[in-house]
Amino acid sequence: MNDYIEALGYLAPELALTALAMVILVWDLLKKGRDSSHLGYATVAGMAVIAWMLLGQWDSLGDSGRHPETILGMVVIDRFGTFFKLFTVGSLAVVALYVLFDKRERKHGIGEYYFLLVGAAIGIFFMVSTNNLLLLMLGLELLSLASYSLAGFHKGDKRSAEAALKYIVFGGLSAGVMLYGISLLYGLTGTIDLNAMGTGSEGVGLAAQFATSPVPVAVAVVLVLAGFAYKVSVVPFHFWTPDVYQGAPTPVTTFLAVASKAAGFAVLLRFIGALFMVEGVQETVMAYSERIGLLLAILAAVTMTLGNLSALRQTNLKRMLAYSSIAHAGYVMIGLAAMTTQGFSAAVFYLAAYYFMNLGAFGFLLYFEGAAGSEDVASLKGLGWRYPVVSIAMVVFLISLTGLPPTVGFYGKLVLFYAGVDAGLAWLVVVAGLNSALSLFYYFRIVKSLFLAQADDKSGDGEPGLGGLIAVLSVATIVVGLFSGPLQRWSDSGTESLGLPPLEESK
Amino acid sequence: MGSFNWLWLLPFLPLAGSVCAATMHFGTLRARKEGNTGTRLSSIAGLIACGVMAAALALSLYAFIQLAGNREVTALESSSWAWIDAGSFSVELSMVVDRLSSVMLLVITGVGFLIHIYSIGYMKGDPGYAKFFAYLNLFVFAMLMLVLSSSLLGMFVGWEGVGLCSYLLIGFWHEKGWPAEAGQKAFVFNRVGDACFLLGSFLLIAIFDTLDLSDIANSVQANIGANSRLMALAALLLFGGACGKSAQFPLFTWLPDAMAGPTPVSALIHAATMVTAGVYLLLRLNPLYAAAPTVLFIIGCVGALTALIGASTALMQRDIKKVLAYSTVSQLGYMFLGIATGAWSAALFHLVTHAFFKGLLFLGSGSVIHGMRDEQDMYKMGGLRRHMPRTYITFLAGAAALSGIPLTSGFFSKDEILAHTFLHGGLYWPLWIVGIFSAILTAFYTWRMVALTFFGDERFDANKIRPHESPATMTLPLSILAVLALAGGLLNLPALHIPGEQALRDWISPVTAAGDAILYAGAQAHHPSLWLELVLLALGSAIALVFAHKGFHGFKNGWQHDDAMRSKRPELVGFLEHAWMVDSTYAAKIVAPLRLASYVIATLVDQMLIDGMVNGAGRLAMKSGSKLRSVVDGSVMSYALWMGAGASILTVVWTCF
Repeated sequence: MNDYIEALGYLAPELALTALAMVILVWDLLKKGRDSSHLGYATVAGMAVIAWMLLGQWDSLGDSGRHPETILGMVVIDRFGTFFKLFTVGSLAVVALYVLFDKRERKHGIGEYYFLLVGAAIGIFFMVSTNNLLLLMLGLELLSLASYSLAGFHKGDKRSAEAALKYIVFGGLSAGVMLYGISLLYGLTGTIDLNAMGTGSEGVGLAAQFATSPVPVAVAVVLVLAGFAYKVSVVPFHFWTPDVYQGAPTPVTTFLAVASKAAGFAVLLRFIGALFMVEGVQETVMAYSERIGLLLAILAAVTMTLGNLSALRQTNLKRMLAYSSIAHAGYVMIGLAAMTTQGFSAAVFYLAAYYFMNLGAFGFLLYFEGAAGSEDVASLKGLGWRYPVVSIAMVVFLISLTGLPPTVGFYGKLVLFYAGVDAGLAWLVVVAGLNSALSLFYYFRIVKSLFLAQADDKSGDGEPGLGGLIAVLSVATIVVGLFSGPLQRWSDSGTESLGLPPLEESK
Repeated sequence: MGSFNWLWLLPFLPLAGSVCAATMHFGTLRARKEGNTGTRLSSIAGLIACGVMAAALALSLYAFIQLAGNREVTALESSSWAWIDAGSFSVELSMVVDRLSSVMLLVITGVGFLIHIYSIGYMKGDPGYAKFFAYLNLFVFAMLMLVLSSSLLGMFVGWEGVGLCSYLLIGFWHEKGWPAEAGQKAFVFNRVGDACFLLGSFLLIAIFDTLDLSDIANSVQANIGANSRLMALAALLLFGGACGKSAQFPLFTWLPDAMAGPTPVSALIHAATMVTAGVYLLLRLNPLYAAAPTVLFIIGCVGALTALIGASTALMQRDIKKVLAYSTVSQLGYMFLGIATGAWSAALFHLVTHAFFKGLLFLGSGSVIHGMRDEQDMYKMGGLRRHMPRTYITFLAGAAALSGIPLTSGFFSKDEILAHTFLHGGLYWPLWIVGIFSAILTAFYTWRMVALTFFGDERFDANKIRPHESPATMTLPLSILAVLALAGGLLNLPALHIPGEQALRDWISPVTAAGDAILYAGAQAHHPSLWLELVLLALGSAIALVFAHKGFHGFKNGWQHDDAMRSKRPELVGFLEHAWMVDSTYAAKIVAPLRLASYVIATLVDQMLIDGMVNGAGRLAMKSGSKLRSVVDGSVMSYALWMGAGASILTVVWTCF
């Protein structure tokens, strides 16, 4: 019993999050749905407290960055998980503020909004800190269920409803596919623990299985990968993304594009790391991990290219950003395909970079929806002169998304490309470079529209608080780009806590 | 060491001041839009800027006292901060005040503070008042970064920063047109130098594997022999950078044009501080230069030639600021000549005294221009000593120092450089003669300027222009600088009776020790004997007095002397007036062919070939983009089909290849 209590101590952030969700729900009931803005502020405050707890946890983990035991046999406490939890908390705080600042959002009876957001975060917390496929699946489903409801939050809006429906159908499909893959993996190895599956410490290791019967292993892994690929919108599992992103309320889209996607990548990194980057595996079955690297590289190339090409022709800013987020998933995949600690760290860093620039870009979208009442790129015309601060901030985000200095996006691409070249994926880096040039084209169409045209004076006023938040994010985009050292060290020590072998010889 | 973190305040206080002033500027703009004048906001910006400079000056003094109080400590260093930390390559940056940078600090913040005060009076009523102070403080930030950085990379940040501020301030009145062009010219010329600077830095990384300045300076000795040639090349490239920033031949022609900026800018940036950055760079890396005697000789030739070109061109200028600009070019040449002879402290000495007297002369000319309602042509001045007594007296002090009248600061510093050149002998003999000849010209043009401006008849319409003395905010800095210009020689009196007792030389000896060790390699440094030094000083005094007298008497009644020269030797005068035709040579030999080539490239290569390719690729991408859009038709069934196909393909790829 005492062990149990002690173990719960490690789950304090998760428990706090759950408590926050309950508080929000009950408080909203007590207030009978009148003014919900208190709940938004409570959410932000709660995120601050949880971030503080997580930072304490980060420091308390020793040199290895990992708690030696698996809590309650399921939860792994390591810096990798803590990094993504902090990421989630950070995104959720901004998203909650976006909801508060959303001019078009009702101010009453939206208490569930915050409840669902916090619920999704609980799902993320569990899925990023486990090696147990069962808990992982549960966390993923919790996140998904909350996301479905959030996507359809504007019940009256046809597009929002359509988005939610599509999301559920695809989510159900991919969850089924993934569960099927997991059951195959269980059947092949006799365990649902990823580490045990990789090393073969219980039952038969996946590598050994692959040596004898490659096809079932390949099918199982691809099916699970498909589930993750759906979550992070990698082509060809991305089809839901544009529709859902466009239909969902903008703060929800922000949440899906930033927090949910990063969580998907966290799980994907853990999955690949545990199964394929295991000491001793390279020697026994070379093809085993090399092929998965090639597979991921192909997915990366296809994803970024299709994402960027599709974004080219979009006239709707929200949809354009949706395709852009697909393209960025492709860039992150470079680090994954490198199959090195360096590559993983680069991917983690890029996700952190993505946090600043994408939160900002979606924030601009929200601001602009509120001010101009439209999502069309064409109706941005001349708004740069009307809202100079927010527009200049947007230019910073776009520069960063393109990957130009002096922004964090530049540095993120730099480390990704570096890792890619080091891992012998020069061709992929060339593809990514060409893609960056391609993306410049549609990103700068926004800039052109903002500044190189005359405004027709139809637009209303923007939300000043939101404008301030966006400005802060743009300053952060530049500052973190110039002084990337601390963030780099964070992503390094997060990645190191996965305990991957150095894998120098595989280059 | 390592605990002097307050040193970070030195550059960042002015940066904060700059941000504040910029905010005030935007506030002023907004106030103006609403119909108010916004002058109050603006004047707050001026006060903030000056306050920040006062604080920076106090910090500099504190740092200096710390160093002077304990002779054991040769440098104060803040804890270093990993600016770039990307795997194998890392750059650590810290702020260092050693003996050399402490002198630079005092000059920058001291003279800078005075010029800030002066600007309050000079820029009064200008619509860009707050903006001016924002730029000026930003400049001080960049200059302090340049001087304090422990690494060449940090120095380069400052180096580029001062270049940017120089550009912004030269073109401050850009709506007039020509200042904008002058700013652009300065920028382009500096780019040439900066490219050399960068190449030199890359070479230093290749040789020493570090950009830390003290590490480089300390490891030169060990690399002599193995890397001598590479080091010489790096030294030459960095000198190329210095040529751009410090306006040396052949990159000097931007400086006279830079006079289009407000006069306090000319005084601060284009006389006292920024243009001496090149000298500072060479002093900082003195062992590198000591190890490359050929490069030193090249520097000497460039310096002497520049001194001559500057001095001779100043002879025939009508614009008072142009005279001072060419004079600055010429005096910078002297500093480089000093470095070429290994007289590090003499070069620094001249840098300091020059900051005093040239800053003073520029501010004095600004006061004249202010009183004359923006008239800069000396032919249209005359007799101003009656109207502007304070400006006149202080201007005399500056002129005395510039021309080397005995016992003034310029007298001692210039003579020390020339004495070292003389002692060096050999190939440096011709350089000494050029230096002496330039000194003759200097005395002449300086007093010609004084005579034309302050003496003779009033050659302006006294009814239209009523010359008046400038306000106290302007004359007070003038007086302080005048005292410094006269008495600055005390810093480094010549070693007349006690050999080796020179304050400034001893002060910076920890910095120059490495260079000296390489230069003299065990042998004793040249020390002039007492009689030789006396003879040289006497020669210097005689030259200054005789030619100052000639210049003054030739022009105290007007510019007839110029006209006589013009009719007697028209081609020579034209040659001198146009600074040895360097600009027109550039126009004919470089600019025109470049224009032609860029036109050809722009039309043929770019518009037809490259644009054709890019547009073709763009059309292709657009087409595939719209194809893709038709795939995404919104139907759930087709999406699911794609996903299934994707998963199958992946499985096939994995198992079959």
